[in-house]
Amino acid sequence: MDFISRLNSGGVALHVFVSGIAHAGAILMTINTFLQIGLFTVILLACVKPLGLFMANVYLGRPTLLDRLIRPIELWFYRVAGIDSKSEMTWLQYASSLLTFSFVSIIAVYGIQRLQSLLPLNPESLDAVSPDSSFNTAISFVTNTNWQGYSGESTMSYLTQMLALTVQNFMSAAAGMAALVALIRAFVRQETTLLGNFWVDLVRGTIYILLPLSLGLAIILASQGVVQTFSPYREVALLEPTTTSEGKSITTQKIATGPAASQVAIKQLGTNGGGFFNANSAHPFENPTPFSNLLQLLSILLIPAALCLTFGEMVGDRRQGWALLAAMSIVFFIMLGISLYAEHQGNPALAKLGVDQATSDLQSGGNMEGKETRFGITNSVLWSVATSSASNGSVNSMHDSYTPIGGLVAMWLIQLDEVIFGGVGSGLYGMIVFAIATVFMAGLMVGRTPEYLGKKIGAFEMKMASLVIMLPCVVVLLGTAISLMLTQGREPISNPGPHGFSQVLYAFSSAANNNGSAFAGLGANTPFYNGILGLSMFIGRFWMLLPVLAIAGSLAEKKKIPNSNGTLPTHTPLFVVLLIAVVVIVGALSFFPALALGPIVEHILWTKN
Amino acid sequence: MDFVWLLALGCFFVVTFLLLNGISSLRTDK
Repeated sequence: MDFISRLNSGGVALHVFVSGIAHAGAILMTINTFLQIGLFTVILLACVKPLGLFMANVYLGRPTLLDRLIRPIELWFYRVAGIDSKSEMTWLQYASSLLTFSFVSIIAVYGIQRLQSLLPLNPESLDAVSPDSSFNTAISFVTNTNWQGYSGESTMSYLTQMLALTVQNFMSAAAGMAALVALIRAFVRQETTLLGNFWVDLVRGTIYILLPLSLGLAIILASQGVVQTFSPYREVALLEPTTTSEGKSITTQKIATGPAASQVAIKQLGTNGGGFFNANSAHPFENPTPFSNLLQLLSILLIPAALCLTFGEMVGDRRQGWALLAAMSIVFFIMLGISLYAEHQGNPALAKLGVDQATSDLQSGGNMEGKETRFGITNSVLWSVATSSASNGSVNSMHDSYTPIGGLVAMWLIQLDEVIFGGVGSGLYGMIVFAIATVFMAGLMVGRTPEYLGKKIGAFEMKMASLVIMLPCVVVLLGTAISLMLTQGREPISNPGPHGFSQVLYAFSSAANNNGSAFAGLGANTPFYNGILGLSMFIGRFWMLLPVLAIAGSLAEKKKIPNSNGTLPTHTPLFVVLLIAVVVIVGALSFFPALALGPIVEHILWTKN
Repeated sequence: MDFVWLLALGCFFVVTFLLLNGISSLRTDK
């Protein structure tokens, strides 16, 4: 609008006309926004039921469409690995198996990174990854966090990307789903100590669910232009040669490639999020077209959303699954609306300089710093809200450049213990723990018996639930406080004032809740941050899993009691509202003071200046 | 340097197994 106004300054009729264009553009933009979000929502919801029921069949051991193809592979695998698929485990054995498997995985990922210079598939002859970065990355990928202190194309060989990182993308996701299934069985079974077999759940989740979905998605992504090659990086001539500050002429550029499509598919489906390239899904080789963007967006929420129906089907009452999905979706769409509004407003500092940030037919308008012009505000914000709610952590725009409120939305969704969709498996078991806390609190308020799905909630379950809910909050707040007190923690901050505080708070929120995205301004690849964030990711995953499995062990031993007049129904809108209130109040009370020091004060400074 | 980081990893797991043991005994005590 300003451009045309400048050409025709003073023309009243034209001014009206130009305003009209801008207004029409804004309306078009709004319709476009609603259409894109509507399309995304419809496709996602259409996939929830078939995939959710399929996953329930897989974990219930019912026949599936893939049996003829995959069952022989599964049986062969059990034979080779010496797994007795008929034997079941107590919660203690289940947890010990998961921990042992994770320990071996972390050592393997660490070892591959440290030895990569001696191993094959390293066409760029990259050196061994440093010990502290290897430590951080090993924990990061095994805990399904996928926080990346390193830059993929300049640090990791093809073998490391495939054998260490991609394998853990599958394994960590399957381990999360296995823990969820153990918890669900606890509601179905009674008077037993057995919760299933961890190895069987891990194998079935991987080969029936994650591998087929990833294979299909990887092929489609490759068809869109996501690279998949073992060729070395390409040296190409620059269209516009340039010179360095020392006067040296630069005529060529190295373009990184690699086996990306196979990693990107599981990175989204397994809510891992670790990019093949440093720019993650903003990189044109990782996310080249609008279609690849839509597919990857859907993949982020697909399994976490469908698992709600898996839960409903396995407990024999699908309404229970729909209720949890409704609670997640309501919070998701409210936060999406807030973030969209904030980002469409633009940057007041740029407005003061006279920069045109209006939505028009010529530009998407709003705060476009750190966003791809090809994605615009809507697809960037939708991704940001999906990736932070789903514990995915991949990005197609830079959260550090969002408005304070846009950044706050991403950060707060992570801080809600990653239960709004959350990680594959881990999001839903977190939400079920919140549901247990909700029936307990509702029981206290109205004098009803605290029970969930026919199981009485006792003191032990509530102690464990409190651990699950409060532990990440403690790690986030303590980690942020310790880092800000130490020079090693303050030096890598790239922004002064509240935004710098937000960078550190976001990093610990992301690590302790196993999200993995970053406010990119924090230079976190230092021994201090690699160590402390590694510890945060470790506690956020394993110290959460233990109480969840302990709850499962305790509930499985209890008798199922029939519903009575004193039972609070847990599939009703009232329960959905109560559940949302508990999640939001815990999140708000725990983090409001910290958020006030970061994005909230930054927003106030923005609007005042 | 590898020794230091691997030792840290080992310590994390030892503490976690101790926590598992602690939670388990808490259940037995109830």
